[in-house]
Amino acid sequence: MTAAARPGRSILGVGAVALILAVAVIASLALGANPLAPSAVIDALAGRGTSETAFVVWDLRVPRTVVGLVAGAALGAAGALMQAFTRNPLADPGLLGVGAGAAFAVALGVSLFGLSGAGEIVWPAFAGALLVTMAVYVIGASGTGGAVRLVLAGVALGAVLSGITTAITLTDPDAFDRMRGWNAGSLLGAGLEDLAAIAPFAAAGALLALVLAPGLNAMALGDDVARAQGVDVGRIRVGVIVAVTLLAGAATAIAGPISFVGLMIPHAVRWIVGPDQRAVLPMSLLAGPILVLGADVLGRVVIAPAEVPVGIVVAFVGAPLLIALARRRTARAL
Amino acid sequence: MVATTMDRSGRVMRPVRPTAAGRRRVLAVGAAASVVLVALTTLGLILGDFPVPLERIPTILAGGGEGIEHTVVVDWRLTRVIAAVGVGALLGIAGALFQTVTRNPLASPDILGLSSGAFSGMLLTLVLVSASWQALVAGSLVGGLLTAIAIQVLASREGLQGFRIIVVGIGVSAMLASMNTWLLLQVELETAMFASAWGAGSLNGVAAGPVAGALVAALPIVVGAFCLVPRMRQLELGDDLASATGARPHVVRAVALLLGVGLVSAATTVAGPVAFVALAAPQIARRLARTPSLPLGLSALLGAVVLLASDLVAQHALPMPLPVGVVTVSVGGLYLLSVIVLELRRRA
Amino acid sequence: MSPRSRLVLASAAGMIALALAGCTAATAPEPAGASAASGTRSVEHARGATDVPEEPARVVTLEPLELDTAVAVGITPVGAAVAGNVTSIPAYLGAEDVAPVGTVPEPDLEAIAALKPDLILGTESRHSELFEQLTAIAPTVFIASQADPWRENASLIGEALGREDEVAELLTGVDDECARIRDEYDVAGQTVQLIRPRDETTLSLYGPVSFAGSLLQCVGFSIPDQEWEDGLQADLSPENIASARADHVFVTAADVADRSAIPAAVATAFPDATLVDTSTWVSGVGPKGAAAVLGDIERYLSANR
Repeated sequence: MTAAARPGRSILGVGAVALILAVAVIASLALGANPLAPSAVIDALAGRGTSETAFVVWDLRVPRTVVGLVAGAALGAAGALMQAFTRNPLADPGLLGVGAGAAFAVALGVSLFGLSGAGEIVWPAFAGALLVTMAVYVIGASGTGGAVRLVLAGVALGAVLSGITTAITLTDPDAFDRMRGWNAGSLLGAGLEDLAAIAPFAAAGALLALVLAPGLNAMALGDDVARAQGVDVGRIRVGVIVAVTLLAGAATAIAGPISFVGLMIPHAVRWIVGPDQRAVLPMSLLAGPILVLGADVLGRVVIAPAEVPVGIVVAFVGAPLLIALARRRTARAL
Repeated sequence: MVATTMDRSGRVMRPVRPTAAGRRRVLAVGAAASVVLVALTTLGLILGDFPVPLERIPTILAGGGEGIEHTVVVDWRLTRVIAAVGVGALLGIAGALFQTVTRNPLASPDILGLSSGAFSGMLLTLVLVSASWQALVAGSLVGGLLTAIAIQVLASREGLQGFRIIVVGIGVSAMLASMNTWLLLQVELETAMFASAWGAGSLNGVAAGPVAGALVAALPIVVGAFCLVPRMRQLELGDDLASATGARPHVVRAVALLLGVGLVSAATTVAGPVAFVALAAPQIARRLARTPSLPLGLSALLGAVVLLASDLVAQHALPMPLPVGVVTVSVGGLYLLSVIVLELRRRA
Repeated sequence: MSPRSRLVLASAAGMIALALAGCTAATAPEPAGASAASGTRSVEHARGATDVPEEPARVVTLEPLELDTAVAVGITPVGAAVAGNVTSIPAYLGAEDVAPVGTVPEPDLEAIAALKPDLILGTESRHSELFEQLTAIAPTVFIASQADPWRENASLIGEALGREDEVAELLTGVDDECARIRDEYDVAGQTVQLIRPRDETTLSLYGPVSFAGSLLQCVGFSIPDQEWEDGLQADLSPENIASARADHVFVTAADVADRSAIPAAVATAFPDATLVDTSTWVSGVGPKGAAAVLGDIERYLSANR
């Protein structure tokens, strides 16, 4: 593809993504297990509806749409960062142990401290994600660079924590019951107050990601090439880890463990705008919520009047897409 | 038989002949591991809620002992020990096979989707068919094999070493894991906890018949694996050299993987999907014996030691009894962490 | 032969030897305990006929219903399977010195054997493959399935314990208590809903065939129709909470004093919902559990007369 053709495709692509995102948001407000007519939804949004429709729209659908936007954006950006940093298209924020750390902290909280309410476990989850990622960095970062060791440390520490978490849940039925619900992911977990408190962390992570983009471009050809261009690889590594922790940790804290978004979104985005991280990262922020909100809406309607949790639907939507992508294109790194 | 050296990421370096000292070391490690195994077996026969003094064990094993003593020691404890040793050995061999032919020290049955497929098959059977043990085992077997086949078919265009099979494996495993999470939410709490314990890998309630059946069925596969060793060593030279010396790399790889799948399936019918033994045992064997490649027999011995030790810890050393898979996952993770830390120190 | 091959053969031979030793040494175990008791009688159950002691003194139960029924007729089991490894016997039973013997789906055989019981009660749908091993410890009686109507299962348990008449009395007592509450409070025509919150996006409604649902209906309430799964429960999204409207709403919780445990959707739609204890209303299947549930219902009715 020539350099001239790429910008044109990019602009079309960005426009299409923004449009689809808007459609996703509207769908998230309009559709659900309760088949409200569009006019009823609009009335409720304008403050006119019955108490029942107002409850459904304002207490359920609006919060989950907002959470979906924040979590989706955070996961998409975190995935893009991980894949650029490890130069591996299979990288995913979970490799740094974020999910395992959050799950461990939640299990401890439920089992030792009796936490159960949705709002009560947001902060332990965030703290667990942060602490574990810090530990992974301490164990796995080495002077000579290389993300492989970091990923190995993340996988190893994640395994240890998942073993202990399983031990906790298998001995305490209340913890098991709570965790099997948490594991499925949910956009209704955090209330708007908790979201307001955690969103600044996610925003900081997103800003940091955008700042790191040029440095990541330089690192795409290898650490040595980047150093030759005057890029401080060590500082970028720290920056990436901090950003991924903030983004993925915040997303997991408010929505539970939603896998796959970080893995899939960067692939789709790179296909549209190319490998320049200065375009990939902002686009991942836009495209991530599409997958999350789309999956949430699907989960609300497939088995109405009940719901399928969003974490479960995401895999069933994302995995076939990922497999189709892998089969069609010739397999190359990034 | 020509051995080669592999660096830590599994890339082939250059051919090296096995020395007499190297062979002695392998034997020494094997003997030490066997001693440890016997000691663990004795522990496994003595420990438990039902008190049985050590002096009575030989009498009971020889056929004597009152009814309930005999049941406890032979039907329950000895069967469980044999199951642990057998499953551990099978997993050790399977891990050595996978890691040798994919040249990746992190290769394990999970990548091929076998473990998550087995658990999914078991869960579906539990929810849709029945909770009887035979049905669950059949379901897990079918689930594991179907998943492995599906991943192969979906990735077929590229062959077994590629990027594509890993992506497909990740995708399929993710879908299965999500389905498992959903099913666990649908059943009652006690059933979900039981299924989770099985899914973690558990030797609870193993009975003599199925254990003997699985081990006997796995025996020809084990023999096949050992017969394949010379061809696998040739493969370590790299595909071009291997073809030049008469080995057919694709065939050898496919056969090795098939044997590995068979071993893991047999192991899974006894204990469910036990994590990390297949991953760690060959690597520990290689490091202890300081051999350049992954020794099959030693992997089997060490797999048996690791699983039996983990089961004893899971049953007796913790405040409450847990499935063995919980211990192997935690210990395996610690092992990986220590490897990373030690390698860091060595480089620094 | 290379050292590695020698190692392999030695290990394989060792494993086979162990396996053969195990197989040949295993003889058919004789059921213990039956001859020691004062006398035996035969009980027909899900696994055929078993001779059980006339007066079982050391009973082990593997199912909550069996534990409840045994305690209700005055026999405190020496051991019982519990829900999880750190939980103990449910408090509402008021039984002491009952040793936990593993979990309900996975009982601990050695712990059971160590208690030297003279009767074991289990469930065919859960413990089927353990039957021979349990019989090796003590005479074992299985109910067919814990999902069957609890009153029938309770009668079989009473028969195994040698207390059929007392169980029949207890069951009639439950019906009489239902009828008494029905006559005294006359709630005919009023609807009731029993909600069990599962997670943020799922609420479960319990139907007329469930344990607590059947008790609510026998005192005269009616549960609105839903698409019940096996007649037992129906799942609902919080968006559809309004369709769970009824004259009286009960919500299960682990701690009935903690109103913050009610999910926001339920609290908004039904601010007057009454909290009830999960350990009796959901898990307390049996005569004593039924008495506790009926007691809760009567307290509620008299407070809201």
